[in-house]
Amino acid sequence: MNDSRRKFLINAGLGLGGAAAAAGFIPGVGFIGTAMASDLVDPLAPKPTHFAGKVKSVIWLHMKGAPSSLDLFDYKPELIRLAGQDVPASFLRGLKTFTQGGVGKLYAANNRDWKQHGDSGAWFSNLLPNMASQADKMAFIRSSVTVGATHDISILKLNTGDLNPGRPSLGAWVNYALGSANRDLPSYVVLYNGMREPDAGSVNWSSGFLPAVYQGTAFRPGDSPIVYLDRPELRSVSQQRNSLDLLNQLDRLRGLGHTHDTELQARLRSYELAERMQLTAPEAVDLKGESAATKALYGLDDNTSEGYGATLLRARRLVERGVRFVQVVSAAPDNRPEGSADDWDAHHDLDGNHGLMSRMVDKPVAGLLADLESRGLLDSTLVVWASEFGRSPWSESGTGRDHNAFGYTQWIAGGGVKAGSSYGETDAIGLKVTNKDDAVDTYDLHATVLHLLGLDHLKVTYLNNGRSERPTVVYGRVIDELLA
Amino acid sequence: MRLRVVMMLAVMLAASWSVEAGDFEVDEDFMHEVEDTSKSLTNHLALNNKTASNDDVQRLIGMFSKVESYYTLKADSDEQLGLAQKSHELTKEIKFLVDAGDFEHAGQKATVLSRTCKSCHDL
Repeated sequence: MNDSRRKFLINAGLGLGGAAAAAGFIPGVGFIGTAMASDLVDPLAPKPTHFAGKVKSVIWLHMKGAPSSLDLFDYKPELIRLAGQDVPASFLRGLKTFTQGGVGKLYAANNRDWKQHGDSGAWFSNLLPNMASQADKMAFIRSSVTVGATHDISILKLNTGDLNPGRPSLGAWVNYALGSANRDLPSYVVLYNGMREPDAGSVNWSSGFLPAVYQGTAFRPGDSPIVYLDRPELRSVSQQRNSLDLLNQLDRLRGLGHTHDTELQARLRSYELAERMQLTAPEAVDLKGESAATKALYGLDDNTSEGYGATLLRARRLVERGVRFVQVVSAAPDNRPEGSADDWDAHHDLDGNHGLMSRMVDKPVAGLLADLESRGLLDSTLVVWASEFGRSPWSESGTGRDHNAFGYTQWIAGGGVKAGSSYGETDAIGLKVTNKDDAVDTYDLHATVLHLLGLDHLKVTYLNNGRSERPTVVYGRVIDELLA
Repeated sequence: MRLRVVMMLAVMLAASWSVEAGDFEVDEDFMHEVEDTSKSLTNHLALNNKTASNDDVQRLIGMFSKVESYYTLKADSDEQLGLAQKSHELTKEIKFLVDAGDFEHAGQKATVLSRTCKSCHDL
């Protein structure tokens, strides 16, 4: 390819948008090598929004294991009144029961007090006293629905919109559509507390059929977020620089023979990013500079909330540094009793499980909202409380609740959100959404998140094998009622 | 005599139509076909492909016409009938928008159509 043709492609091709160019296809010109395309177009260059966005970043709090809305946010006096009885037939009409434990007696947990909080009067149970103090920042989606009854499948749907692996996660779509706002850090970061990566797996932050450069980067808990990121003490900065320059040249020569391999292109870019991150990533997650008051705000002074609190404090620091999408997956606290569940999945001993898990997240989530507000970041950040499904109003074992995909609560808070509002409802026992037109599926949540970022979900498209794909598959509705 | 023959033919035609209508079932295969066509339509609308969009929407109009007839005859199916009628109307509106070259609004209607299809699958 000579210089004049290269210039022509740059002039003609750059305006065609990331989708065509990143795929290596330029309409009217034909297919060009991906390596050449990636030379011409930087896949992580910042891209314009479709309209003025309300927020710049998203903190996606995935409550893994599925907490019970009925024990946290959804006060259902009728459920408490009917506890211990069979589910009245009227509630089960039209319901295809596919939960593993069948339909047991209605269940209300012990020692649960409910109060209204803030000017909005939102109900909270006594499990979340700190989050209750932030009630007026939240917009509740009380008519959330999804598909599936097993965690891994529904988690995949929560993050990618599909029940099967292969589609990009929401964070990858955001990364693809907006590019990076900080070239020294990954623009899509995954955080988790606990000792190991979330067991639902990296498929939940995959770039699917999008180029691999858009996938999420998982940060380990602790001061060294990425394995082998630190420069060995025996190697000087200049030695490393020379090694990396040589490696880069060799990689690029080799890459010319694999022009369509976006995994390889992503790997090459990751080496360069890794070098820049040696300085920036440890600093971004280093909490030493945070005040004692801030640490206490996030619950770092309590053994149960310490790990999750540190994770959310890191999420705030990443957002502060321009990271677009921070996906936080909750595990159980390190000090959990032996034999107890490792997430919110309370099929047994709901009181014990939710008591512990609530204590783990209550202060950190409340602290995050308060901290973002006090730093002027809440207006440009969207915080999403999401889970793969909810839990049933009946008991599975006498002490726990089964899965429920028919109606549960999630919430959003931050820029552009109608704070202190509530959308949709479930029936009197919290089993299913009362009005199907109000149902908010994962596609609708994704469409709303993208809208707040200034993106029309119908226009975020990528041509994959001749098919125009979008984040919301063929669905998606922006929930206007949640917007300020 | 000629009138009697015409009458008999008419009765035979009516009978064969009712057998066909009676044979038609909104089964899983048919729903998959509707869903695949709907996905294809969404794709073609996003690509502003008028010919392919028209082919898809024309097929969907035919399919939803069948579904509407099916639920009109089936007892206790008011909700399904309502959704079939809504889907049938939506496909006609999409056809109108595609003919006018308005792919953006046609795409928005197609999303409502997918949502309506999904509601019906839940019943």
